[in-house]
Amino acid sequence: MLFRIKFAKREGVRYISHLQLMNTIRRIARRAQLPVAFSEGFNPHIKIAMGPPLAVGLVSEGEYLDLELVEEMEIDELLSALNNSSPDAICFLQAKIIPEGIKSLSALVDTAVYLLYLEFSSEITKNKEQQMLDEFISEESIKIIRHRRRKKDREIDLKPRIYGAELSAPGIWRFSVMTGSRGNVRPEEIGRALSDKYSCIRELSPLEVLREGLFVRQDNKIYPPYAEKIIRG
Amino acid sequence: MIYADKLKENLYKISSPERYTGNEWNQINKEWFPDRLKIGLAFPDVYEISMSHLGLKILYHLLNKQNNLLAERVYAPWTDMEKMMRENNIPLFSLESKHEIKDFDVFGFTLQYEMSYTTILNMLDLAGLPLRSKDRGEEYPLVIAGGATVFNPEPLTPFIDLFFIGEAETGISELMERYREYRLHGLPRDQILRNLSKIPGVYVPRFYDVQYDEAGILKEIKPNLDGIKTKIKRQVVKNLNEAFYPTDFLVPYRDIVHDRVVIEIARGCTRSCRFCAAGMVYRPVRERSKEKIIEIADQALASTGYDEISISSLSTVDYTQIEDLTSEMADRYQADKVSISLSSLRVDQFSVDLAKEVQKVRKTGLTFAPEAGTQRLRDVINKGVNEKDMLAAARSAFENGWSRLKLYFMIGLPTETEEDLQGIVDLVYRVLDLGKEIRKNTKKNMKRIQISVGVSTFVPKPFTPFQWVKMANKSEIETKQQFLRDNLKGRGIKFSWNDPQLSLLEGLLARGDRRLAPLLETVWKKGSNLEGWGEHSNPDIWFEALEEHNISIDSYLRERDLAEVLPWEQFDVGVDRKFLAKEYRKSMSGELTVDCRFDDCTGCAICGNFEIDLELVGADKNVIQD
Ligand code: SF4
Repeated sequence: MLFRIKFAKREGVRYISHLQLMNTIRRIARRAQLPVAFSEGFNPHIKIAMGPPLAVGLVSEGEYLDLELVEEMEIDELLSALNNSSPDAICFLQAKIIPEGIKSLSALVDTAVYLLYLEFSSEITKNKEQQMLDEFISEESIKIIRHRRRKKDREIDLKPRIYGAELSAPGIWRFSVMTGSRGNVRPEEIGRALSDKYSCIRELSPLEVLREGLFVRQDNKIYPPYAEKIIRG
Repeated sequence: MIYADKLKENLYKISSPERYTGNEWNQINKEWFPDRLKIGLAFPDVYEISMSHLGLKILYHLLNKQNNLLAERVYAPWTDMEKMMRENNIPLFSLESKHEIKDFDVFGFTLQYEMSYTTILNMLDLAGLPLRSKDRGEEYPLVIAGGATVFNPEPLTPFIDLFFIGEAETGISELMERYREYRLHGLPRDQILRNLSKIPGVYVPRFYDVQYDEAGILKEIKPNLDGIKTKIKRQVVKNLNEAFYPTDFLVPYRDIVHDRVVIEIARGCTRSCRFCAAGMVYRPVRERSKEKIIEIADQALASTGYDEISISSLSTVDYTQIEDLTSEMADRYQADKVSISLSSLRVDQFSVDLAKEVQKVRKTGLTFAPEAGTQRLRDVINKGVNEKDMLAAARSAFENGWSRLKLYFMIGLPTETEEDLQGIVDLVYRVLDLGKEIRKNTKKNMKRIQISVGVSTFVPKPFTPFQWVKMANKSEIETKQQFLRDNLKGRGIKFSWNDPQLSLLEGLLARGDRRLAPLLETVWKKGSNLEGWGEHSNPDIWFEALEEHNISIDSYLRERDLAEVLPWEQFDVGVDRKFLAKEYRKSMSGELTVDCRFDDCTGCAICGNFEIDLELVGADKNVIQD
């Protein structure tokens, strides 16, 4: 039985990596004494698959994982078992049963939504903010330098990778961006592009970013990866 | 003051911030009630090392079990973190509540290896505490220490207020409770220390004077106050089954060195390898019962969610019911895919069979420690291994699919000659050839044979039969290492060795006295910190400082006369000085000493001294001889 589970990675585990998070969740599943399925081979592991990695240092309210159980279980029961065995900073929010053989999270998820909590060096009205945002998003191109580990820096254009942006509240800008294997945008890069363009926007720190969720894009609409439309095809 | 916010603002700028956030599963968060004694449990290394230390885990849970006590962890920051802390005026803090050290009543260090002593000084400084005990007033926490190298704490004595000698489960809670009460009554620090020094196992260095003769040879160590004990007796757990053992271990988010449930199945070892301090100072052997071990294992696995469990002791395979224990555990946890690992295997076929039995789930590496290359030298050090056992063990390992073996040896052992070094080379090649042959003839798919040869330099340690011998000097060590480098090469062999200078410094500190304290301080001022990490090890500054202080390292590494007073003479670890001297004599003629678990009492006197029996599961009690 396959479950797709939505969870939050919060402040207390901000700095753990994707791999550490996977290990942590495996240990949570063991503590919860779930009837988990194991991978084959010499080094059997609890079968867990996750979506696109969240950068170290970021928090999120909408991560997903697929977990396979060898017995049936009610969703509420599953969630409370997980939450009872989990540190407060990892919270399992919702789950859906998904059919076997469905596309993996990493193959499906192509959109990430981030909230950026911006700080301005001077007082700025809501209208002005809206105007800045509109202006930013209607640029021809948004060029930044991407720093890559053990590889040369490279210039990339964020513009085609940003699907949309809106003012969520004064000082809080919501960006919906490309993620996954086809290309991605790091929130820090949007921050840099913003500060480059507007000197009044302070440099963005990872503490001022929240990943709100991960989605699947279809016909210009976005759906959570366990939406009926996605899992039934 | 609590530094949580200030840390939060800055942590993202440094490497591996998850070392400093705490909040792991099973973390204990006790309320800071005014009446509670607050203890900062420090380890002079970074998170992943500190978190792996079993003694510290036991202490953490043991102290927190007491309602009147509260213990939080304090580890050394990596250099970039330290820089950030100093720039932002963040003092050393605890992982749980992020209180600075000055807010604690007690700051306690675990002593693990000599080269970490300067990290202790650095941590005191980062905490904002004056380094020296005499400069710390009532407003500062009491600084205490204990652990593996506490049997010669002399180089650290000016910095530490109080040492606890021996196994902490016996008296640490009581010690802390007494301290709490004295504080509540408002007694002055000096009076408190005087009272505490009456507790068995407690050593307060300021109440002892050390005298040297004109030649600088130690003459006497004695109390400088009435009512202070002349000998400090090591404290020993009498019954391991009844001793406290935690099951709700902390579960880190990041990898640590020993990332698994660890269960100590026995304490002590009586094989009497003559170079081995642990084999002398943790006597006698006490075993935990099989039932108790399984009970602990069940609870620990349920509480942590770990998928690996390691059963450990100084010599795991010597546990009386080891076969029953391992097969029962292997059966019990196989369905849950929990793997079992054994530490410290003996060099024999039996050990390989056991390893095979438990490693049905996952296969990890095999390590053997023959320690010396010839039978003659193995007899000198009383390592009861012969070449036949060694080859049988290797054969069995290869035939069971292991293609990588690790072999450990020592150089610089007393009476060693080139022949013994050649013996190491020969043995390694014999094992390698055996492996190649088995690989050639097997139908199984086997990886290329690889033998890792780790060679360390022998350091004569306190409370061993070799405590009197001279340590090899730099050029001797280098010559020996060169010989091995020249002869241990080629496909399938990986040779590694220690920096000779580091070994000499380890020898200096292990055998040192109080006169080394100013040296430690100078070396720390020159930047020594976290020297256990290759990239931070800096022997040159030590040798510079030795010169500045006019200290001859040879005067510490020289042979000592049997009649000489040793810097650690004020401690009674239980093993008789006479026994050690006799072992020393026997070693010179290659005479062997048996293991008192399987044979007659060898007269080390521990059982009589401490009124304890050998506790072997299911075995008849041994008869103590005079
Ligand atoms: S077997 Fe030898 S080396 Fe190992 S702990 Fe015992 S005495 Fe020490």
